[in-house]
Amino acid sequence: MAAAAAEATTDGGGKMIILISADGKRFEVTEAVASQSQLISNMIEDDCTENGVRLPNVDGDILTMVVDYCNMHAGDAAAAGDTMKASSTEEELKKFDAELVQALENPVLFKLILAANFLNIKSLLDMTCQRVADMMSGKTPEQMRETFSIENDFTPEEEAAIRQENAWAFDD
Amino acid sequence: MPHLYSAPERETGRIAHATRERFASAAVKQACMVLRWRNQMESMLLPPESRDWSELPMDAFSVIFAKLGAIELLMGAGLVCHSWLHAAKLPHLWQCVEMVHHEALSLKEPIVMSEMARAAVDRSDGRLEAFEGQWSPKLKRLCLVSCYSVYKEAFIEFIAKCPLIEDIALINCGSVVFHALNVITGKSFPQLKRFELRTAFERPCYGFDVPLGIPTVRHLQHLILGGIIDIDNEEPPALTLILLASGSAMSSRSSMLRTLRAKCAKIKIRVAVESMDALPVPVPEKLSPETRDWSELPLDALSVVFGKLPRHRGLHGRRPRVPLVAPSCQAASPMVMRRHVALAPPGRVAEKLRHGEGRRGPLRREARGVQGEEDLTLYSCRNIDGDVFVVAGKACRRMKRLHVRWCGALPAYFDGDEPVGIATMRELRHLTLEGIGVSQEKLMAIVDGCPQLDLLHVSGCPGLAAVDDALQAKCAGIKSLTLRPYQELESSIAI
Repeated sequence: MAAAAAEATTDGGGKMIILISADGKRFEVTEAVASQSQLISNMIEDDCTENGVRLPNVDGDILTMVVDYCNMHAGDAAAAGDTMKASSTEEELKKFDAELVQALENPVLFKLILAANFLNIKSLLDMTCQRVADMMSGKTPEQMRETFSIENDFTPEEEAAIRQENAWAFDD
Repeated sequence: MPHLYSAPERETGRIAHATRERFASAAVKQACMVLRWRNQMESMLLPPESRDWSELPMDAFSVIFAKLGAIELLMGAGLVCHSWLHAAKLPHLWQCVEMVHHEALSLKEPIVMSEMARAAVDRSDGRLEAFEGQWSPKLKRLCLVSCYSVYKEAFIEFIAKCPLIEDIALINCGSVVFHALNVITGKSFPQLKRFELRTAFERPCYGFDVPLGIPTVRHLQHLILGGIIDIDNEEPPALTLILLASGSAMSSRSSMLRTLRAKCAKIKIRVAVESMDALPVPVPEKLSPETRDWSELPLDALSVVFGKLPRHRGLHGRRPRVPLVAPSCQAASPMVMRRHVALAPPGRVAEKLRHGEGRRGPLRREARGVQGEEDLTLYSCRNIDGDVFVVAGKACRRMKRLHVRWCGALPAYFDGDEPVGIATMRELRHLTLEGIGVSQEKLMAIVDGCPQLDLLHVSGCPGLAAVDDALQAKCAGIKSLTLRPYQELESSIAI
């Protein structure tokens, strides 16, 4: 079982890393969990995680989610020895991720992307970005501005030029 | 099960451990996490400014946009705001362009789709690796510029799906350019009329098969090869063969030309020498009797005519079978002579010239009444000889601006005294000479003869191996002065 394997690592004296969010919340995670973040993985390599890793760009609520996500996904690395199990776990995880991502809503999604990008967690970034891409899909520029509350910062002249250059997007 | 996630637990970050201990089943675990994330979402009240989606980091944008695909980017996401537009133009997003599976396309006209495809390819900025489009079976024109990563297999596979193609242009697309030459046959592409292959890296296609397929393409009218060294004979009828030299690499041309000459004894091959970005000047091979007159037009007549022609008409016959430049003709290829009008980009000019409609009648008629031309620009005029300066000097005493570049395949072409004809243009203000056989003495004579000169640019001129103090002193009064001595690098070939 993935969880059991991960547990074993922990029990076996796997190094724990403390992550400290912007608002001072502390999270203790195993090295395996933390190193899904390329950023932290690099820090572990450089041996500068002794006094905890401060993440000034990520606040506690978001970090809770990120740690959750990493815990969930730390299992697959540990279970990789057993191919059958690994693949089924992987499938399960994928399904789970898909479900999870559907639940993501705008403000959290945005922050999660920022966090995933900052921490450099590829799979989480991938997942969250997929959600955004799905939200964008099939929308006109105007609808997208609405969905994401973006201000149209083109001047009328620029807008005209863009309409001309990209006539295909406006012609019907 | 909210009690599981009480605040202290959450704050020590041990939730996950707790979860793992209490729930062996992954499914339950996952369900909990979804629940928790949902709670989180509800509980988090983020200030509105924190979700300014136009300020996502570029990395994140590029992940999102990569998932969206070409059509979505072109249709919507790329047009939302400045930062999204910028992100949508990141070249790596356009490495693989897929324009097949999208419902928006079903509403589009083919021409609109090709516009979009063009934009997509443009945005790839030379990194295009795969392009998938759904209109390929009817594709008539394929033009790839600077697509270095187009693989030969991909190209061959793609082109095989386009039996109706009429026009293929591959410009600076790596080695696929050479392979393309070998896959074209009359059998597979019966409609092919124009085939242009160019590469910036001059290298022979040694090791590649002789392109035997080309001669079997019966409708081929234009075969344009730039930087492609080896090609076989037996052109189909009505073929215009154009070989481009780009100035720097002409020496590699000579062996090719000799081979060609030997192989194609019955056709005449011309080399169009290209200045930086000029378009090729179509040069026909075969003389038909009715067009011979062109070669007999005296040069001064031509130079006058060109000055009179509105908007660069003239010079090239409508059909490839109506050649302008006969082998014996020492007249101009593209030649622009205008008054007080800034020169259009050479490419444009050549394009106009190519589509122009020079006919003998009007040319002759207009070949009278000369004086007063003040601008003359000669770029890449392979077939002009030094007389042009003598003639122009006589005809256009009031010439104000004269620009001559790479005039002729041989920079040392004018080894007589003709350039001194420039010295008769007393009112000349601007003079550019590039790749002209002008010596230091002649240059001094010119400077002497043109007291009003305030711009003089000379470069790549054989005969001007060094610039000495005497010349410098003579040019002291010229405001904008460039005297670049000739360097071996620019040497040319004897054809």
